[in-house]
Amino acid sequence: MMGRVVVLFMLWMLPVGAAWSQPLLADLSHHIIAIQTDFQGQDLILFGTLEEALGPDDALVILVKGPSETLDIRQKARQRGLWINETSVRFENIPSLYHIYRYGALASVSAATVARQELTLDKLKLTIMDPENPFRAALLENKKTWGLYKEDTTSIVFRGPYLFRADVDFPVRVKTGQYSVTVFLFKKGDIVAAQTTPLMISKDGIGADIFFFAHTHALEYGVLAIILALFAGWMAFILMRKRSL
Amino acid sequence: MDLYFPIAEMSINVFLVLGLGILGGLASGLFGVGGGFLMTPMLIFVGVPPSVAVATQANQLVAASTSGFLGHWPRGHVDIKMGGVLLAGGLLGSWIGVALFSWLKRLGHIDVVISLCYVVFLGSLALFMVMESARFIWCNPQKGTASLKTRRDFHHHPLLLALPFMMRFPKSKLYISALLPAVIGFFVGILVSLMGIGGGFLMVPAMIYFLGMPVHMVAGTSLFQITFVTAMVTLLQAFQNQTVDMMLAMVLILGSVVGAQIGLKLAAHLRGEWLRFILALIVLGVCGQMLSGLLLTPESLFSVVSVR
Repeated sequence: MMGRVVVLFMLWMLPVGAAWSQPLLADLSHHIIAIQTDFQGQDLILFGTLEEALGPDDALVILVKGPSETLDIRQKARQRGLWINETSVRFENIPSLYHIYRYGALASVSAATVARQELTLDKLKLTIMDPENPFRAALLENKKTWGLYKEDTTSIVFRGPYLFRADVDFPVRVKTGQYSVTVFLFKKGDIVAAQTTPLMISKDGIGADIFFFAHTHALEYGVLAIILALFAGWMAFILMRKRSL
Repeated sequence: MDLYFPIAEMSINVFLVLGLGILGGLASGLFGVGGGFLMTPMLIFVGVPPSVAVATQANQLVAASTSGFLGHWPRGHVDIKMGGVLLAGGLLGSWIGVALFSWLKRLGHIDVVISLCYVVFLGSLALFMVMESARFIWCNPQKGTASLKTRRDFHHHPLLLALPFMMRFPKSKLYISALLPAVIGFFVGILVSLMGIGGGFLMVPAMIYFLGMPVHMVAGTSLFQITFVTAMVTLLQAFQNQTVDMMLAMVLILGSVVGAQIGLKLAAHLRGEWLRFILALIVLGVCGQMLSGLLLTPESLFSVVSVR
């Protein structure tokens, strides 16, 4: 009798239990960031739960990746006393933003996995991989200065053993486009779960209209810029004449 | 309060931009110049990409020169024919200048060329002005006028009279080769595109010394030319490079209108030779800043440029 009740109970629980038995669930507080004229960067909250508490050999990693871009890194050299750009290296299709948030021990994760999943900035796949290369170093340095690349070990915070949250920040210089936020759960060095959430950053409001207009109707934009300036000049003249009368 | 400027693609404190406009306007009210030579370097210094700074400044100068030109027009101090020839050269110059700008930008040398232009043109002009006004203030003022006279006779040089395309300019009472104003306009057009200045600075002395124009006609006529050339540069930069930030230009214009009012008031209380001396010192300061950027070892040898 008792055994049948238990089996029934387990059968009843099964579908619900399956739905709950995801090792990792996470989501962002917003999926769209609008860059308006007063944009100064934005912080989003990523929150999630784990099925099991993290052990001493386990880790949680959040990777935030921005749309790709192509950059030239130029090196200045002194020529006839003047500092002039001399050598230039092109980095093609690199992420415009790359944030790594870590929690827990990554020591057990193999070097191959770290490299494949680009879990450290040292292993980030850029046109030049040699860590000693000055152009790669300059690119990383520049990106870090603007907060576009970073490695962070303090932002992921646990509330109890299962619930976690992380402050994910998007600095003022973010590029518009499609972003992805991926959460990895490592257990004893292996990825046991991963979840990717998309995020869209776009320009909004009058700034976006101006940018769009300037690029799609360049000629009309130029004409409008001139007309506005002519009008402003005329207004200034009237103002000055009134003052002098 | 920070404002995001869509073409510069960065947030700048709006009061800082207004302040730059006021400073530029102050200079134009005080000294009767466009103020571009102050505002463009300062925009670059604040972090605006040089290409956006130069192009946006051209847009601001359209407004500044329009109000200046309208001030001269009712008094009849504009030689439209002379202005037209200057303009023809200026339009060609600005077209070549914008093409040169795009080419140098691709090569990665635009920043250095902008700095060099500032150092060479403004530096030599400032030195000349400092010497001239220092002599005027501290030495016998008679000497100053004497040297001015000999330089004004330059346009009677036989070589210049032998040039083709002789043209009569009744309003300025001149009979000279049309090539002279066209070439002057041409060079000024190039400089507008490369430096984001109106070029009145260089055009006014050139019109007096090389063309021998009556002094009272020079300001209005040069403003006539500058209005159209800066408008042309704005159009070309917007069309070819998409580097004109309308919003940035509008805030700058607003500031410069206020600044010009203050400048005009102040100018009434200051003596002309002192004004010129102060202006020369400011121009020298801007040059020194640009020169140090070229000569001193930069903080970082590397720069990052986005490729579209």
